[in-house]
Amino acid sequence: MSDVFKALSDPTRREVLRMLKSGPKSAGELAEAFPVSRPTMSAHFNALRAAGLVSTEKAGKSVIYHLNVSVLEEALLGFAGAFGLGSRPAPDASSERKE
Amino acid sequence: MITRSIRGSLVLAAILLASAYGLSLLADFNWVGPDMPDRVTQVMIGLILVLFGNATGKREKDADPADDGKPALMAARRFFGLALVLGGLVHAGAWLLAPLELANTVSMVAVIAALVAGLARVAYAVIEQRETPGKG
Repeated sequence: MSDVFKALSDPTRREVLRMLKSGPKSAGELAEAFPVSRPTMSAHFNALRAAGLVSTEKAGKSVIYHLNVSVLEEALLGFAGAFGLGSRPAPDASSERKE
Repeated sequence: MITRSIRGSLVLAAILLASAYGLSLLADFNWVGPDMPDRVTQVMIGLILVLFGNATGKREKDADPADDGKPALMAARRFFGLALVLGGLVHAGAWLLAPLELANTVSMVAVIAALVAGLARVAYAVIEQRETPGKG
């Protein structure tokens, strides 16, 4: 359970989970929505996968991420967002990536 | 082969039966009130519903999302789970706090409403899936 709290404590990871609510997305699609480097996004994906909040499917060379949350985890996601743990990043593909 | 979930269900059933039997024995000796066995058993049933509802939207750890990963169906499963959790909480709360007659009615209405709402949502997702197979 501590993995879940750790994963939900980061606003970027919460935003990834929110994006996945509308359906599965590839790692590339998700990464493009955030102004962070690929290794950083990869670390975020690993944290989400370790917490069991996403499941993955390989489609050719790309990895597709699926939302995989229980009711409690979804409620925690909502609470964490509502109480604003950390600042919420603005998903913006055009933003300059930082290393 | 007994899987982990079957073993968990058997343990839950054993706990439920043992506590119901134990409480009815205690009630026979007037060590607890006459309505206590019913209340505790029903609260436990409500909490078990919450437990199962909570896990409904989640895949098994090693499950391949490609097998059941249709997003619309998974969203419906999550809704069904939420409905079961809410129904279970109302069921447990009613048996914990309300007078017996009221608890009986409220808990039944809550669970039936949760099942109807959840199943309707799943049916809608399945129908939508059949009509637009390419989508989700």
